[in-house]
Amino acid sequence: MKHLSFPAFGLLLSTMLTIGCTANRFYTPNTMQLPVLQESGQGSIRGGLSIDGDNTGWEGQAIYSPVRHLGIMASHFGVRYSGTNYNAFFSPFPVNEEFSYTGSSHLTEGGLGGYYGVGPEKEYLLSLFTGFGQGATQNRYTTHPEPQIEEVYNSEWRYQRWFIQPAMTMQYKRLQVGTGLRFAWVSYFDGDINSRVGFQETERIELLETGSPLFLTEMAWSIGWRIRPLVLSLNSTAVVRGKNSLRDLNLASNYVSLTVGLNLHELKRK
Amino acid sequence: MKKLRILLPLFGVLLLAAACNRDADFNYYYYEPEDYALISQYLNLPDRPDNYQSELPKHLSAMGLATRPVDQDKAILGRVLFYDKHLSKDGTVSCASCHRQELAFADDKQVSTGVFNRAGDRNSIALGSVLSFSAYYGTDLFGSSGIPFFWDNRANTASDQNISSMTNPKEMDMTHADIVTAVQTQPYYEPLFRMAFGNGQITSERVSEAIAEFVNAIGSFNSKFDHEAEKSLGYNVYSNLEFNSFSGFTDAENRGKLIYLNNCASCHSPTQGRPPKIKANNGLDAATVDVGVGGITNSSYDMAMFKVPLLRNIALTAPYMHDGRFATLEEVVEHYSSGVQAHQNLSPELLVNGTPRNLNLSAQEKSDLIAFLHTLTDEQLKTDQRYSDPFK
Ligand code: HEC
Ligand code: HEC
Repeated sequence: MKHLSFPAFGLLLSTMLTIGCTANRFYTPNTMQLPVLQESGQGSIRGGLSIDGDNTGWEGQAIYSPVRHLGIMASHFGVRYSGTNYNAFFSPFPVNEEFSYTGSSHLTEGGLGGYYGVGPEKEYLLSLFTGFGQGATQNRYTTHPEPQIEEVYNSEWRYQRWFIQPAMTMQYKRLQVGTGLRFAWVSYFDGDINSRVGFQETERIELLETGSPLFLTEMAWSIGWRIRPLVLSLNSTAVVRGKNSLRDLNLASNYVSLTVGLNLHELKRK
Repeated sequence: MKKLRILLPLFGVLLLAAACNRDADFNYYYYEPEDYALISQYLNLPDRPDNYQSELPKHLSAMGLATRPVDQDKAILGRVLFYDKHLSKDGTVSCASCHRQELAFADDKQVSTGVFNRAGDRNSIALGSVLSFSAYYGTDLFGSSGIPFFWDNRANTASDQNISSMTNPKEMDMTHADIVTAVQTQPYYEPLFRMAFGNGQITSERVSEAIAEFVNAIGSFNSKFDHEAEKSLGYNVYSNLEFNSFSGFTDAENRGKLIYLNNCASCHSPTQGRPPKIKANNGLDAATVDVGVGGITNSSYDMAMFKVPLLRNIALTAPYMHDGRFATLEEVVEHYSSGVQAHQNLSPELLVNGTPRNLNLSAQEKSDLIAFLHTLTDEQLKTDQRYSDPFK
């Protein structure tokens, strides 16, 4: 790990920022929590933001180890997005109508799992967590068929997500890096869709409905700076699309966030 | 023991998640419930309308043809207006009276009859033949290269066209004010206009715009010919069409296709896409009987020239020609085989050395050509519910 120089680190940082992803109306992965726990009583909370073009995401996360090798986690995630579209062929509205959309999605989850430290100072941490959460998505589409006339249509649904995530993190001096996979099953339910949002959009939503539960493989990276008791991290969570049909769903492929964490045990020691 | 403590709750979450798992069952709606209740008293409109946006098969899109974007709400409103007899002076005629779906939107009369049984001047044009209207009709979208409407090309846009049908004394015989009153008195129009135009205000322009949207949305690309052409040509329309036989065609149909490509396609289009010529004289009469395009342009070169119709669904649209003079395809083929007349404006495709070019087809060739013309029929169009009569 000594080879990871700071210029290289900077490069990594900037590439991660530039591949941040676009507004999405169906599903956005939240930042994966990569556990950094070594013994019981340790825990941290963190808050994060993601601002990327038309997306604004925020989240709060907490993790705690009540018993050695066992951890529990909780998180809440919210994202808002908006945009306009002018192109008839990608527009949900059939004519050359300009439309704008705004939407939001939120997800609250809890999880639990085990962790195991290896290395002389247990600086490598392997973990396996599983969890379950529930959320909702609301999309609102606005169009002006004539300048003074405004029409608004909604599509909304709720969803549940169940996940299993193996992860690995490493601490080295002030650096904290981690990576993990998240296998997620996303089930949609309680949809209420005004099909006046257009065929393209409705067809995608139907795909979501018929494809439910969607199985997604997600991959996360995180690079953090430790300024005891804080950890400043840049995180990226990407959906690695498995099935071809998912491509039509226009799922957000990548979510990049900046988080500030507070290690509670480090606070106590001070 | 400790491991068990970890595993057990894990297991619990798993079970919980499985138990909570809920089936996706989305509710889709298009109309507001009270609107739908009102509309449904009079009309059979599906709760979730079908898509009116046609997609062209590859052999047409590869030629650069594209359909015009369809406004769903206007097309639905247009469909209702198209079938509504209230839009005629005596309440007996709608657009659909002369443009019947089961006949590819033509009628089976030599000349169409309008209100009070008045006879029209010409044979109804099959809207299911002209189609892909939206791909190349209308000067509003395609400028001077857009194909105008009617046998004599007298209307530039679908909207001009339908206003002229509604106000034509021999068709529906309405004034603009009559149209507005007729529409206003029907309760189902308020929600439909509101959805199409953002408010329920009814004007004759809006009526016309909606009907135009519907007419432009009619698309028929499901003939045997289309399926075979798309399958065997892919994007390579020009290099293969003439020489390749279609694997799904019978021998007679393939032979007929060659006769067609060699003798008819230069006017009527090899792909049943945009006709290469907008107007022509095909030698029906030696002297001018109906001036046709000449009546609009006043040019002596346009006398007795008529729109070159597309031959899609041609087997459904008898009788044939602008005056419906031929009752069957056999008569049409006989015309091109032996009856081409030396009109002064006879188009060059039908001339050899200044005299009419009769094809002199054998009996076998005639029946092959007719077999080919039958492959142009789109059976789905006859019952496609997007275009069907919505009235209860
Ligand atoms: C009384 C019978 C009759 C009625 C009613 C009628 N049409 Fe027609 N339609 C015809 C005839 C006949 C032609 C060809 C006339 C001509 O070209 O001079 C025609 C031509 C057309 C064309 C031109 C197609 C082309 O390729 O140029 C369109 C489009 C059309 N009608 C649509 C409509 C619509 C829409 C309505 C209702 C508003 C309507 N028609 C009502 C008989 C009728
Ligand atoms: C010079 C161009 C030209 C050629 C070549 C030509 N046609 Fe036509 N065709 C026309 C025109 C123009 C009309 C409309 C004439 C009218 O109604 O006055 C027409 C009308 C028709 C119609 C009647 C369409 C209807 O809706 O009533 C049929 C069927 C037809 N042609 C078939 C053929 C066949 C088959 C051939 C080849 C053997 C052929 N045409 C060759 C120009 C042509």
